[in-house]
Amino acid sequence: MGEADGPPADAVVFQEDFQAFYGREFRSVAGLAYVLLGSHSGAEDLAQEAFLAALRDWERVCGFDDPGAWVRRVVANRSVSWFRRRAVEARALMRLGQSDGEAVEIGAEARALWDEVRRLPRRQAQAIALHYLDQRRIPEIGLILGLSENTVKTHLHRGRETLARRLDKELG
Amino acid sequence: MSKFDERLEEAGAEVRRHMQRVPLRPIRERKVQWHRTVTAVALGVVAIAAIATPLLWLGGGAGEDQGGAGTAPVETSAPGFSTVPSTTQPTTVTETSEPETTTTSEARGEWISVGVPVSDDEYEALSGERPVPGTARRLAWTVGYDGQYTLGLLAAQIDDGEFGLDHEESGSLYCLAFYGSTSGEGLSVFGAGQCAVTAERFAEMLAFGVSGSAHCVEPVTHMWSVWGVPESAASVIFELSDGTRLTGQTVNGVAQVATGRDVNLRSVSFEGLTAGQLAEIERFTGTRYLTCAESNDPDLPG
Repeated sequence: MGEADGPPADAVVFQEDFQAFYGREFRSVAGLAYVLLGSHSGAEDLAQEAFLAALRDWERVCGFDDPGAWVRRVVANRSVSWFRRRAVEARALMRLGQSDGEAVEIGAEARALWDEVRRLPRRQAQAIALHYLDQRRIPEIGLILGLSENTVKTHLHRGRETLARRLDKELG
Repeated sequence: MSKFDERLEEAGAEVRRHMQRVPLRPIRERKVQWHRTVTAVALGVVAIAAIATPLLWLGGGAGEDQGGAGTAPVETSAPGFSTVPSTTQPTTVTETSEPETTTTSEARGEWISVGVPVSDDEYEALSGERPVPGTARRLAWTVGYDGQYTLGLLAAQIDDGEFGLDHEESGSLYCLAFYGSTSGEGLSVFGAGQCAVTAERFAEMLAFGVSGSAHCVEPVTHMWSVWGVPESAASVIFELSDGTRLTGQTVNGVAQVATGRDVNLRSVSFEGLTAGQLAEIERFTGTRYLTCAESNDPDLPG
């Protein structure tokens, strides 16, 4: 794609498409990552990892009905290994005398609720986050997580039940 | 259950409102190309470092370069960060030229000290603890002052051992961190930095730029590092897009400089090295730290 070869028309279209997609979707994907990780900076990192993965394979990903679902699936999958990796990295930063400052400004009640969501089994937490944060419907959640609609309903139901029980107990 | 649903929906809405205020970091195709280059180089770092004798603390100092005699930069004509095969003779890394910009940082004064290394003892005095005793493979500390802030820039590659890395990972940690203090009484933690457990992830991190969200350094800081520089290099000269030449002294195989001015890196050249040594040099170059200015990135739709 040398500059002397004439205008790289495909590349221009490719880039515009991806950047529009990135601009439109980044914040909601980062929000999903945030509620799954509980870390603001980590959420941005993870969301960017997912978008970078999409960009590397954009010709294929942009052909999907919902490229956003693909990116969310990457976030859901990688959020699991993120904790282990992040723990190692954070420990290194601490050893280097560096704090990992967070700049989360959401209220205490919402934060406590999402903390509880993260304590749920992984699939339940993902289903709850996609439904209540990302406002995805059950068929969409199934598509993102690679689960049947019935399984999604089960995860949502059990997750909600557990949360309600825990929070009721917390409130006395 | 419906009241509980409302709580969940409100908690979701609160996070969505919060995320609307999160600035978009740019993803540019150029950066991804660079990422690919850096990834290749990063993987080379692991391979080379595995067989090389770890470099120990070297010490030294540096300042603003006046254009040293004997520098023999070899310009590359290709735009963008070019992949440099290890068998060739790389002496210059060229970044895609962009319109030069200036910011108010220029009025705040030039850096008066760039590339001053900190030994492990000094590090201990500053931090109260050596970073990772006996396991740091490379550590470079650059202290600068831009007329208002004292900033410390740290690049480290740390061996496995105390971090519990899994065997499938690289065995090294790559870290970049920013430190700073306005007190003038040494460096204090400033709140920005990242580590990566693999060279590939480190390269990705650099492709996006290292940033932290906990604080804001006025208005922009750029940092460039070259890794794997032999001890015998007299100096590593970073030429910036405004014509400024900064010299980074080699510390533990890492040469780095920083500036508070919003400029691009034009080239890197080396003094005192043979062609064979030049071929061994690994580069993580072009790290950029954007803070306040980042939220106004014009490259992406809002």
